[in-house]
Amino acid sequence: MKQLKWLGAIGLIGWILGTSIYQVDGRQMVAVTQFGKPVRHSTNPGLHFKLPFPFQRTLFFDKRIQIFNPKPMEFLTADKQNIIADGFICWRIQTANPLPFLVSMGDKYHAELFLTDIFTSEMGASLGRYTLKNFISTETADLRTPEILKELTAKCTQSAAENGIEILSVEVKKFNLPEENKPSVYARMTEERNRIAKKYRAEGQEKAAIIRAEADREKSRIVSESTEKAQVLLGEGEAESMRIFSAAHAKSPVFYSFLRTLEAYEKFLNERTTIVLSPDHELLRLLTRGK
Amino acid sequence: MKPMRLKLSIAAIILTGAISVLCLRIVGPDERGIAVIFGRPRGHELAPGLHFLPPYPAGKLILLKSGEIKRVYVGKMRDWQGDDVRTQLPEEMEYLTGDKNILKIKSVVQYRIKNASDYFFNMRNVFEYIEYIAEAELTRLIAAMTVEDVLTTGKAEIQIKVQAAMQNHLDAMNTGVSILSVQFRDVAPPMEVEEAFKAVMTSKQEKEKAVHQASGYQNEARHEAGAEAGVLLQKSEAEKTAMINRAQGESEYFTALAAEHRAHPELVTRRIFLEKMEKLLTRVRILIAE
Repeated sequence: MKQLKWLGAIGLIGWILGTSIYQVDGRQMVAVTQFGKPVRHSTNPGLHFKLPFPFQRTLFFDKRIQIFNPKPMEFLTADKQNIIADGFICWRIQTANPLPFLVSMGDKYHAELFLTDIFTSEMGASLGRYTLKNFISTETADLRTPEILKELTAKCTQSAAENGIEILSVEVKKFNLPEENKPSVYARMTEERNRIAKKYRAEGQEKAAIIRAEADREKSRIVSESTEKAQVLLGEGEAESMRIFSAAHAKSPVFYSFLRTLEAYEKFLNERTTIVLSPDHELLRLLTRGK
Repeated sequence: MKPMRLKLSIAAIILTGAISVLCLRIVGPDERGIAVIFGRPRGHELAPGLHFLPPYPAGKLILLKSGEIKRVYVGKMRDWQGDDVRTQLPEEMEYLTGDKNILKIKSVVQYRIKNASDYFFNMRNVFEYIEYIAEAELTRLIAAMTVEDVLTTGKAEIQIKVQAAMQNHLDAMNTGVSILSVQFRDVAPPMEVEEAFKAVMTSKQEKEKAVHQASGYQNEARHEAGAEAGVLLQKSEAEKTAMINRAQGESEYFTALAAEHRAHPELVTRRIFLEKMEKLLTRVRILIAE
């Protein structure tokens, strides 16, 4: 009997100790409730004390930053374009005071439901105010994604704060086109590529033609230049020949004139010419006189 | 000693020994440790080696492989919150380019833990955050570029910019992660338009080939013309020289003859005259008359 009492006493003390001491991990925050009503909270890690169960209970929360990725949804932009946005939210329970979260949300599951709602409505509103080229464009001036996201974050932050949620950032990790739109996009892409291919081929032909024409021009230029030079050389040769002849002939003008005349006879006297010689002519001397 | 006291002493020694063993912790060579005592983390990281901590559950040792290079693959099948929507999502990741083209891109992010306690205590799922933020930055950058740029010259630029942007985000959230690299594994247009994209590459090559051929023609033409010109000039030079030489020779002959003539004028004149007449008069008709 006595032993049972001892066992009972030890058991009670153990129970009291076990439920009065609790550990808060560095990743957690804790709220202590007394018969369901929150009495205090703490984010300090370490060993803590409270009234034993069933007087006081502890509720633990993750105080770290959490990532929530709602299902991608289809939205309509201001210029009536359908686009699927896949975003994510970085959030955490307000570290200063987890009690609003405890009261409004209760747990992560409900928090995510809430976040899905505000994300969907705010994202829809934002996308609806801007045109597609504010998100997707090759012109830097059109793009306004960072400021739109800032706006989005600010709007979400407000409604979240009232419920004990601190939103750190809202990002879009993907923009996609709805499946139904893809065939027409592919058709457009194909057409565009074909057009570009044609352009390249045409450019190639054009450039090649220009180079060839230039080559032909150059070739005839080189040839005509050299023909000219050849003429000049021949001219020089003739001139030099003339000079040489003149130099020599000038030294013996009489003799030259004699030879030149004989040459002339050779040229103009032919079969049709008749020369009349008198019998006393020098040449016929031997014939007529015999000596 | 009384047997009771002996038993107690032995029990005490065994107990001390057991507790000591339970207090021993080892941190591996590629790890860093965070000591948590009664839930409160100790300030500094524990280096590899032997350490003493109160036994579990009072003392916990969290081990993180901080030297290891970890990888995140961006672009794989996902399922959302328990719903299997594999049939709805593209298998590889599709990105929209600034000129409204679609590209499928797979990439790899390499990172390592630079601060173990930041990594452990600040964010719940850093791995997931790295993947998401990589996608977000890729999306943002690619949405500002043309499909040509992304497929050709833009790859290096994108990889560098995404890495820098990611590092900013990760540092802003105090995740204790250092991004080592972002690399594309595959960048390709969707299957449905692959042919058309290939055709553009082919046409580019055709263009180059046409220009290349024309250049070849140009070189050939130049050479031909040069050779032709060279031959022509050579010939003319030779002719010029021959002409001059001929003139030289002929005038020397004349000069020699002229010297002969100066020496014996009558004789030379007569001789030449008769030689010439011989030839000429055989050709012509001669009439001898008074």
